[in-house]
Amino acid sequence: MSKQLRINPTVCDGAAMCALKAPSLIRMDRWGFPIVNRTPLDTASLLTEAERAVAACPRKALFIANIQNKPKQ
Amino acid sequence: MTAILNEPVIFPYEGRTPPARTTAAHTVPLAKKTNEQPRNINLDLLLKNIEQQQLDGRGGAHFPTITKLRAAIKAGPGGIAVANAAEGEPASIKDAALWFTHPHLVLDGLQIIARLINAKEAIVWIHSTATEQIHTIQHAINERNTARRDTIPTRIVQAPDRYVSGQSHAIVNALQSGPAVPHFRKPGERAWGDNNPPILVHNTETLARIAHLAAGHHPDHTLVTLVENHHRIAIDVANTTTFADLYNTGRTPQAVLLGGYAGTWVTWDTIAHLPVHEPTLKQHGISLGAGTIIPIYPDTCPIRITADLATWLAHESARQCGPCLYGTADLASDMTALSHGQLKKSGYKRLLETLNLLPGRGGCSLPDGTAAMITSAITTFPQEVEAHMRRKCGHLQDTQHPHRLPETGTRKHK
Repeated sequence: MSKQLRINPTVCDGAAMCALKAPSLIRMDRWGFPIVNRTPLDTASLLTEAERAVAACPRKALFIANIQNKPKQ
Repeated sequence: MTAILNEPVIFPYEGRTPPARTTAAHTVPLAKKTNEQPRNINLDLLLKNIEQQQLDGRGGAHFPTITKLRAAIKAGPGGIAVANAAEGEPASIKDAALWFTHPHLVLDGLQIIARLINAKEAIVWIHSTATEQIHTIQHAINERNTARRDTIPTRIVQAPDRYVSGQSHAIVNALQSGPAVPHFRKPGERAWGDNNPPILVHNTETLARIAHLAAGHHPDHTLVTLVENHHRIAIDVANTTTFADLYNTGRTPQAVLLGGYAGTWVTWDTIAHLPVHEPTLKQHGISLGAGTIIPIYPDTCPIRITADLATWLAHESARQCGPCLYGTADLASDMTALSHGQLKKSGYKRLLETLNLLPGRGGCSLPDGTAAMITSAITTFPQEVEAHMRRKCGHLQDTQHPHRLPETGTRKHK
């Protein structure tokens, strides 16, 4: 079980507040939309970055998910 | 070994009109053996059989049917069972073939599912433009009402005429009063939302297989659509039949596109000796997807066809997600330039970069499928890609008599 930063791409508008708050986890693609890294948030600093990004998004597009470690079907 | 379709059903190249000679479409008599009526079927036994036979969904994903069913049963009563008759894949007519020739088999399957999950209603979801199928299905529903065959009411709901209308999350979204575009669910969350009664969507063929299984037949066939120059042919293929068996008369293809417009290109040599059977193909890293088989012969330019497909897919984007909207448009534009011999090295680099930027970044799998299809074209036709980069297409005949896949090319797109 690990925590991961995830995005709902259907509501993301490309405001890019997340990339400012979580530079270790998010970079912007050439169209202005975030590429969200699925690295497990297993350090305090990663988790803090993720929480700040979630709070900063004006569309509430980001969330922190608990992901099972076993391979998905 | 029993098929549902005992003979191939031949459709015209485009559109959803019924084939000739299916006027009396409801040819399967309604008065069947009492123990085969949906209301009398032993549901526990059927559930065990579905699990044992490892029945998989035939809408494209081939997901284990038992898993979806168990989740919907667990979610409680009062939900909706849906037959997905929105066969938006342009090359595919296997579902239409079933509706025109065996509507009661599919509707029996739908009733069975509705009973299994204690649904309050059953819905057939179909594109509003498929008018002849809608008539056929409504006629069959009326017959069943007269005969009091169904315990759970069934009705038709018409879908917007778009590719994404056939995606299961789009259906759930629409039936929960939203737009018919794929909604987003968090990892692990059910398609209908964790606090709602279940909405369980099954492909038309899956339902037919379930009804067939309930009547005692093992599901050892797969329905595929073969696309030939002027026709689309629905064939119920035994699990042991190989691709070479399917093409043993006529020309041998150079390669095939398997599983729809967002499917995968494979060379003929890779596939010829393999059976038309999803579990076996999966071991070789290949999937039947929605069951369409589109051959490419040496006189057709595969790069131009891929560009046509990329253009079609970009048009069909639900446009909810930035990476899909911009990414599929860029892929269409760069593939079209490549097909005209006008893609520079920098453009090719951008094309490869775009292919890496799409997977996993949309709300549905349209961008993933588009990227995978184009990647497989580059892998399967490296010499043609190279030739186009040097501005020389080897398929000189292609420019004079361009062969178009259904719904692609110069037709105005909806």
